[in-house]
Amino acid sequence: LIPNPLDRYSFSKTSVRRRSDGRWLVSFSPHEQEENWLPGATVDGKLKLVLRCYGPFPGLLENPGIAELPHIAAGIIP
Amino acid sequence: MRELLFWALITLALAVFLHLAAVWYLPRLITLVSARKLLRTSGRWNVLSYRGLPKAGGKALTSNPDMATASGVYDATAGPVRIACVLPGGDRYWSLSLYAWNTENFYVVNDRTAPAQEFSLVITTSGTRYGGSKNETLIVSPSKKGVIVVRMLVPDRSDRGELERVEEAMKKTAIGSESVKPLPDLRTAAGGAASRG
Repeated sequence: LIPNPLDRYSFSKTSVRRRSDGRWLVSFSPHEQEENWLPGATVDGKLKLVLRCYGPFPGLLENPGIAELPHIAAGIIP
Repeated sequence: MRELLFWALITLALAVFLHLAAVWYLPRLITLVSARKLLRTSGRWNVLSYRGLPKAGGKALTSNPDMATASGVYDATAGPVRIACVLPGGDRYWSLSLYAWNTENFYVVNDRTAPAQEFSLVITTSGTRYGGSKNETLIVSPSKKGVIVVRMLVPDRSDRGELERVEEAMKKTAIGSESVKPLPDLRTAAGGAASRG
């Protein structure tokens, strides 16, 4: 976990703020962001992201490949 | 020819040694180190200690910031160990995992597979006679000693009230007082696991 003054390391379906269309954006940055800010910075700019799914519906367990995973874009925010 | 045979035997002996070290000894060493850490917190076998949420700077590569844990080491040498389990409710992910002394995860139950909101697990070892009751789930442990980990999901770790409720709910799952006993020598635990293979 990357140290930060907010003691925040993740967002869940409960804590993430969604847009009107239900989609969400999480921003990892050393500078404060407007929505769903994960504060922090790494020395080499690299980090490992983990998506966990608890109690998934049976179809996802049988075929995890059907999950629609979030898109990741690097270097677009300060 | 004789020299070739000599080196073949040396290689074979080395391979057997490395295999035993990696496959047999290393997992038991890992459990021994983990058990020592857990006992430093609880001070006794057959006690679950609430560990809360992981903090930044931990050594685990992908520790889960949203998973509260309680853990302890069990010892079924003197008899079965009973764990009274209470689910948190509210469709909250909860699980209890048992690990044998060789790190094998031989049993898991979660909030969806649990037989009831409140239930008991009884850990025994092969050869132990235990009648049990219909409200108990009997589990045969491959080793007399092992590790228990209880996990519960925390949807928002910034909510102080939520953290207090989680801790309270986690502490409802406990090892029965009848199976609590004084701290034995850890070297005996490792030796015991060795004799069971």
